[in-house]
Amino acid sequence: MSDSGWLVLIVEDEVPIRRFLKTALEAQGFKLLEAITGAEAINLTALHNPDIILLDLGLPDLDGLEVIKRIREWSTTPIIVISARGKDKEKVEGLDAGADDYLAKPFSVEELSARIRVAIRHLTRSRGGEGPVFQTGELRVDLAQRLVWVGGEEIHLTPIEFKLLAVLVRHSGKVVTQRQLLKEVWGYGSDEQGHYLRNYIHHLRHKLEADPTRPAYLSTEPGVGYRLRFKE
Amino acid sequence: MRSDKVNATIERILVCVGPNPACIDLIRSAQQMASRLQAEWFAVYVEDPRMLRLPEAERNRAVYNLRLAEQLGAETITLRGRAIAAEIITFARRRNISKIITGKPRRSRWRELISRSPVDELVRLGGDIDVYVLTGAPGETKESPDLVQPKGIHRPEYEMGLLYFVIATALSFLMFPYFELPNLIMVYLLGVMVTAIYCGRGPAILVSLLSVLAFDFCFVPPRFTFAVEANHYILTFGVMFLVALVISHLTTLIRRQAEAARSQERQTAAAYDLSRQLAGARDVEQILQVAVENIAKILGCQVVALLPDEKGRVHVAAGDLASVFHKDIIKEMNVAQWTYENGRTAGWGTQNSPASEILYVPLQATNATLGVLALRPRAPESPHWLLPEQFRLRFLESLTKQVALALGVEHLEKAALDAQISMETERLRSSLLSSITHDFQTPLAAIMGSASSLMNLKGRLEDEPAREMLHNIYDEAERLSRLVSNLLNIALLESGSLKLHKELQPLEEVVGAALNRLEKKLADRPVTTTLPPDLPMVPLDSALAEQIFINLLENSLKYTPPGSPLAIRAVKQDQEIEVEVSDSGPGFPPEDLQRIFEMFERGTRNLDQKGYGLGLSICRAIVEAHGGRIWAENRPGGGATVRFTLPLEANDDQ
Repeated sequence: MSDSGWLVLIVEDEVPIRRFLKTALEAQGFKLLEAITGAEAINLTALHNPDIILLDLGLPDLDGLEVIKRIREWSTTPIIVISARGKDKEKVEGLDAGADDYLAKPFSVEELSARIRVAIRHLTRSRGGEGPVFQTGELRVDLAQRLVWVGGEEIHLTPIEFKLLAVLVRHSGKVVTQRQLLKEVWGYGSDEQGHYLRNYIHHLRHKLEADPTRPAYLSTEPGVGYRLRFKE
Repeated sequence: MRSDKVNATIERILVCVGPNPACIDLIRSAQQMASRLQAEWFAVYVEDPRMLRLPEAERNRAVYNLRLAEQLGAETITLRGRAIAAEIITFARRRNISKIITGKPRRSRWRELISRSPVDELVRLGGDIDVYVLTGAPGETKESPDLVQPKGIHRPEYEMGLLYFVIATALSFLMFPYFELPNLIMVYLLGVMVTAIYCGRGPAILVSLLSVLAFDFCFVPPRFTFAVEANHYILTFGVMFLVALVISHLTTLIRRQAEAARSQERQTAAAYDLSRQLAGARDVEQILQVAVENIAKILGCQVVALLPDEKGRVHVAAGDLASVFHKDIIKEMNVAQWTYENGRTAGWGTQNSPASEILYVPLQATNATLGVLALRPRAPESPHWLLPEQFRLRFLESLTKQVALALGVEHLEKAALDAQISMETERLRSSLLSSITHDFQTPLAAIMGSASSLMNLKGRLEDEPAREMLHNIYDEAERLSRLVSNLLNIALLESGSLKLHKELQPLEEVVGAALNRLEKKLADRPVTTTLPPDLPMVPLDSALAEQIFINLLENSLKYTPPGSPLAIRAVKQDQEIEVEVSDSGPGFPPEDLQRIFEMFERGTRNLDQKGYGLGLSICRAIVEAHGGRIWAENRPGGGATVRFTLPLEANDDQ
């Protein structure tokens, strides 16, 4: 799937980072657009309608958040934000504003490719459509019939547990913030209720994971949210 | 039980104080009675406008007496008014006084005949209040103060009086041919009144007498003899003399009251002026300068202001030291120090170090003494210097209170400013730190990204040494990057500008995230995690708590042989959770156990030792920020263990 000529827009003001992103992505067969400023990013998005946007949050002109919001007004193109490690608040704000995933600087090419692959998978699924059954590793989820198996064994989940799992499955491979989960499962997104969520994740892990302290499926991104790991 | 009348259950004693040395006995008796009855007691001084005529020494004594009473535990009050007894009784009724103690008056017989003494009035008005009249010791009566007789005759005033008299007589001569006699009496009375207004009482009485005589001699037939034709003129003279006396008396009284009012007004104006200037003063120095200048001007004295230094010793901060402290500076400074430490007035005219010529007044703010004012009269007989009626001291107190308030406000402002500056500094510091991290992380990210993208170019880079070099570049850049973010974290934690974002969460989540992050490095390591299923949720900042586990695990990875096992355990103990991370390597050098969590191991010799330094100090900073403790142990069977606790109760002060 790597040489399929997807168009990637890189928005990054640091030349060395841009250079390495360009080399690495071109080597994998992506076509590239480069923008240095937020305004340029919005223009290029409007002009060329890229398939994926890699957006550094620290831009010289606009706030990265602002760029996400403006693009989200008319485009659903997946946005992967790049931000420094430790700036969790910035990441969460970006994700809540409509970004799809994030990469913490510094990152390796593997991490970058993994994020892009997930984004592309979601793109193709939404374009081509996909069956209601989701499978990763031993975990199998039938969204239509509301059934869950690990290995061959059927797992019984409470309605809320299932709803939670279903949201993570829909976003499989991508990080989902605490607020997004609260909103999609319970209908409201106040951080005050965060510990309910953690409690349900805890139960879910104990039902799905072989070793809940080294989760194979439900991984925590501290300070950001949760990710249902996806193995192809 | 409340009674609007006199409260019978609690005795309240009032002692009347005057400018009389015998009053000391009176005060002591009152104090004894009060302590016997366990009663509250009050010392009252009634200030009569007539008292302004008392010589300074007398007025001093009244204040001295009041101060004495205050020191013996009385509440002291100064009342004002002419009707001494009525003032006292009104006050006594208002404060539910049950007993009044007063001294026996020493008055001449004839005055007793004319008017009742205040003591008689007290007894008459007192009603159900007991009035005790005590006599002073006989020896002391000789010191009895006289209402001041004018010192000698004030010539100019008598001369002026005579002049008015002459004018009145001249006018009468002019009028005589055209007016009836009684009209001339009016002219003379006018003369008496003018004399009373401008020259005071003595000349007015003299003029009254002269007027009667002159009227008789010059105008009453037979003229130019003192003899009179008709007897009814005797009555006329009598009435005329009496009216003249009354006029002169009333007029002088009005004049004195006007003077008292004027002096009151001057003080109010001075106080207002001081407060206005204090409001405009910018800093401590200016406030003290304004205070010193104004008080010196108002009271006609030399003033210096003393402030404490860091050690609490007072020193002169404003005003001219030499103008106030003439001699015995060390002794005087000790008195000033005493005043500062005790927050009480001392020195001249007080009970504390009365021998001093200087009066020390504390600058008393709401909850602290901020400094001391030292006052020395320029000339003790100056009319402005603390004529030490009680009200003047009170006046001084109100002036110093203003100064103290201004100083207090200044102190608060300074504290607020300091807080703001430190906030600014903190803000600058964290923005500096975060931009430094950015500046370090960006090139590192580029290095790592480039190295990893080269490593990924499979097929085009088969050269093994080159691949190793690339790995090297990548790993070391990663290490540097971790160091930079650790440094940032510790700097933020130490400066207190990193706010914990604590949320209740299962410990397993944090452990899982850390193990996940280290997945590759832990690939060949068996890690046992023992977390009891009933372990309660812990209030944690997840990102920071993850860092604790990452740092501890990396530390173990660094010091233990590849493949050796690691273990994470947690147990609940009372109000906290104890977590341990252990390995089975060589353990910590026993002598280092105590200090491996120190950021910089001072005094240690091996600088090249790849310190536990930063990683473990960050663990400590994070654990302590959560309100827990961290320590290291060596396991009996070999291997190092780091234990830390996390409180289950979120203490919000963290």
